[in-house]
Amino acid sequence: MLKERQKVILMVYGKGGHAAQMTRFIEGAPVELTDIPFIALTDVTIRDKNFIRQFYCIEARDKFSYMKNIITFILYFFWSLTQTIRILINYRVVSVISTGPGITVLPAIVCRLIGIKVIYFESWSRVFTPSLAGKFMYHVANLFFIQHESLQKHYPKSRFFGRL
Amino acid sequence: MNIFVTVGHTHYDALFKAVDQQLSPKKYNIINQISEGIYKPNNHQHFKYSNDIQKEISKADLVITHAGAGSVFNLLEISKPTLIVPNFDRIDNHQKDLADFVIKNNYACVCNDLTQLEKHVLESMGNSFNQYKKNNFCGYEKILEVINDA
Repeated sequence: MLKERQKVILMVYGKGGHAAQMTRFIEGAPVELTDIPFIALTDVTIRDKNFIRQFYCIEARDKFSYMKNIITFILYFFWSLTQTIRILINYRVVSVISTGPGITVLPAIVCRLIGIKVIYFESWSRVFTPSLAGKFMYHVANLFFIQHESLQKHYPKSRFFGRL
Repeated sequence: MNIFVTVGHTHYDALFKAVDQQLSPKKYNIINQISEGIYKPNNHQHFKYSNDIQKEISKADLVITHAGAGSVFNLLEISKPTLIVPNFDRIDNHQKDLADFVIKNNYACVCNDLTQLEKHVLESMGNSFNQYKKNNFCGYEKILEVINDA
């Protein structure tokens, strides 16, 4: 059977603004939350002291070319699946918290299926139109936050609690 | 006038080309943060990334930025005179949403036509804009509730 695993929260995020939102989320988090160690699954390669361990995974989509997308996605699928399994073998993940984007979808589905709570933030750059990752994650997440109230009509069951 | 041009972690050659060609070094003292861009400005200084981007921002009278939310919210929160140029090189429309938000609330000047960059620079400095007030995230208790509800 699995060895005694450390209890952690898994943070999943992409680079740029998504990483910035994650940093803000952690900076504002209360002790009750930061008492649980954080690990990360991200395409950011720079070491971040907020996490006891960082796992690397490529982003699900190429943002500049449709052509590269198919190859990128296949690569993403196997990469993220492998990393998710590695994480679940080594840690007892109590929750997945993500600030997007697409990198989150597969790990979140796997975790949700085995009963881990998934929390997702639609990106702060989404004011009037939902993101592709958001549309998927709306159905996967236990708790779905929007950061602009104007998105409520696209995500009726989402929650608005201000902006990161 | 000191201008700092930033594109965060994406590349946006069209913007740096427009800055280089339209904003004369005689009138403007410009520093470009070009990230992974291929185009290297001839008339102004540039670097890829900086560990202290806030220092560059505070030295500048005006910041020209792509419509990346990280950059835009950082600038609006410190009430920095900002010109936002959405990156239309990207295939998703993600920067348009944020640009529309800024226009709708009149938080800053948005340039949707790169051939008119200098006109927008002057507008950014001359016009008055609404102050952006941040509504801090306060949903941590809700998160703890969900996590602890095993």
